[in-house]
Amino acid sequence: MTDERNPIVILLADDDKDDQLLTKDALDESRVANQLIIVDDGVELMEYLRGEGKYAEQDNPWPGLILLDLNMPRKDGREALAEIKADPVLRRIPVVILTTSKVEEDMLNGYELGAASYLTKPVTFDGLVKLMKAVGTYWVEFVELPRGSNNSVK
Amino acid sequence: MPRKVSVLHRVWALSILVILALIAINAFQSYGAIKELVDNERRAATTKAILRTLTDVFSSVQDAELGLRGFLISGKADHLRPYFTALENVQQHISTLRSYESELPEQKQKTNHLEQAILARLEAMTDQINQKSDREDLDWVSTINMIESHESLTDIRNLVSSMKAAEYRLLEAQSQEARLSHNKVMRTIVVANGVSLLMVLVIAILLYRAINHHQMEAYHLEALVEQRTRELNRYAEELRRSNRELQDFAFVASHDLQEPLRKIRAFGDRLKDRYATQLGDGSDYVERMQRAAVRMSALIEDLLAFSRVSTRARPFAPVALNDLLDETLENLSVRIEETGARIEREPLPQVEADASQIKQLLQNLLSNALKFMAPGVTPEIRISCRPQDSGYAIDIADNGIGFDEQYLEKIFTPFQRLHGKEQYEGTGIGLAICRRIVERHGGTLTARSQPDVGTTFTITLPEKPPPEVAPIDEVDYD
Repeated sequence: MTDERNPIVILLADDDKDDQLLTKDALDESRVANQLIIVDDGVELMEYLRGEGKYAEQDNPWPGLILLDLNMPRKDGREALAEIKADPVLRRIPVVILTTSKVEEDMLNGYELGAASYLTKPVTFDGLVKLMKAVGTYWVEFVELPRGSNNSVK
Repeated sequence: MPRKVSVLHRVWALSILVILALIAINAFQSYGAIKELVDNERRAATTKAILRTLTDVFSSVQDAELGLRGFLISGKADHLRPYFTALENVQQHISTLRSYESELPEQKQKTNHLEQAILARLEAMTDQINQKSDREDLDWVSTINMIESHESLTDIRNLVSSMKAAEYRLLEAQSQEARLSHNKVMRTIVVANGVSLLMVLVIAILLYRAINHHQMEAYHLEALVEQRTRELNRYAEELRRSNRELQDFAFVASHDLQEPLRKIRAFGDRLKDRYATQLGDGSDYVERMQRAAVRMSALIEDLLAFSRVSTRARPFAPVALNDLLDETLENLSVRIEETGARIEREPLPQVEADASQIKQLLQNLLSNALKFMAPGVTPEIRISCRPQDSGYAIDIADNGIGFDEQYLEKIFTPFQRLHGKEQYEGTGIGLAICRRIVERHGGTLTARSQPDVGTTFTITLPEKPPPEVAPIDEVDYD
């Protein structure tokens, strides 16, 4: 770890455009100034992480943290999480589940699959801001995170 | 169905009675016919015996006559042996003849005449024997005269002949009668057997039809049962499907319906935060919009709670209601302290129930009592219990604001309220849930009330609730 902290990239996987906007606003509001990259579902998430599909031609920064929604079309958060944790390199990236589901089974399943945290989306925007502030403080300020080689997934 | 059976039974009993009667008549007639046959036989035998005896009587007399003649001619006592034998036999034969008692009444008299004639003849014979014995030297002429004078048995012969002729006529008549009765017997037996055969045939046909009918009925019943089973299975399948749908709905309601509401609230917050100056008075509308969203969230939650009474039902187990009341009062302790409410309680029994639901029931009713208290009056809540047939009735009485009893059914209907939202908060689901819980336990929930006096809710619970339909698969949607 060098002295000048290279701010980590946060990768958000959520199919809901409103939630994408709200999460982005909440992160802005909570002054977590990290770069936020947004993908729309599990398939896009895996393409980004593997540098495939529409992410094949560009330089994709290595995410320090993944915020993962559970219920998404095509490939949902559970499948994506299982794939990430099955990959010898990608499994180092901490995955924080951020979902509306309060179902206990989802929570237990998330931790079993290797999620670093299980967070439910607050009902109010203030709540979301508070949550994002906490996430920023903990994962960005305090936690030591592994970096990908060349700071890129590709 | 039982009526039909009894009619069938009556028809059967009647047919069996008729058949038995017919068989009895047959048997009686056959017996009569055979008896007649035997009678005829016996009568004919008697007549023949009389004829035989008459012949015997006459031949005995003839024998005596012959012996006598021999004696008269030869003078040898040897010749008298058949005479003595005949003498003995004649008596015997005549008494035999008497014993037969002919059917013809005149025969009796004739028998008497015959006997007299024979006796007279025998007496004459005895005289001649005595004469011959007394006079060894009786000459031929007088002997011949004796023989001649006594030779004639014409009287006896005629008598016997006329008796015989009468008996022969009788025999003829008897055999005629016998032929007739024989024919009659034959006819009777043929008819009786024919009728019996017909009866057996009828019974056989009836039996066959009855068995066939029963079999058909059995098939029919079987088919009916099968159909009912299919219907029930379909119904159960339908029920399971609708339960699944309800659970899916619960999931959709809790997740997908809450989602847009969450966004309305969140974007409302954003509007108020970032564009407060531009909005001006408009922020009040945003506020109202958000409150409506909050309220809709609550309604969805309550609807879910209402549906959970059946979807989240747990099996019944023995539950101490006292413990549940303890816990409920503990949960409400803050509110009780705030209001200064006085709680009076009687010991509650143990019943078989779903503990978490009964706890919810008590919680809803007691918090209701605390909620609708009359201003300026210290709330008093009395929980009492009395045994009832096969269960208990539990009263929860308060001294709150009460309500007009014409709205009684309304308070148990989901989302029906008697007061403005500003006056008393809530969505109006609590009592509907209570009633659903009690009904699931096979009990009832009613209330008596008087405005400004108070309300008494009465729960009746059976000691052992009725068995439930197959429990729904445990699904943990929330």
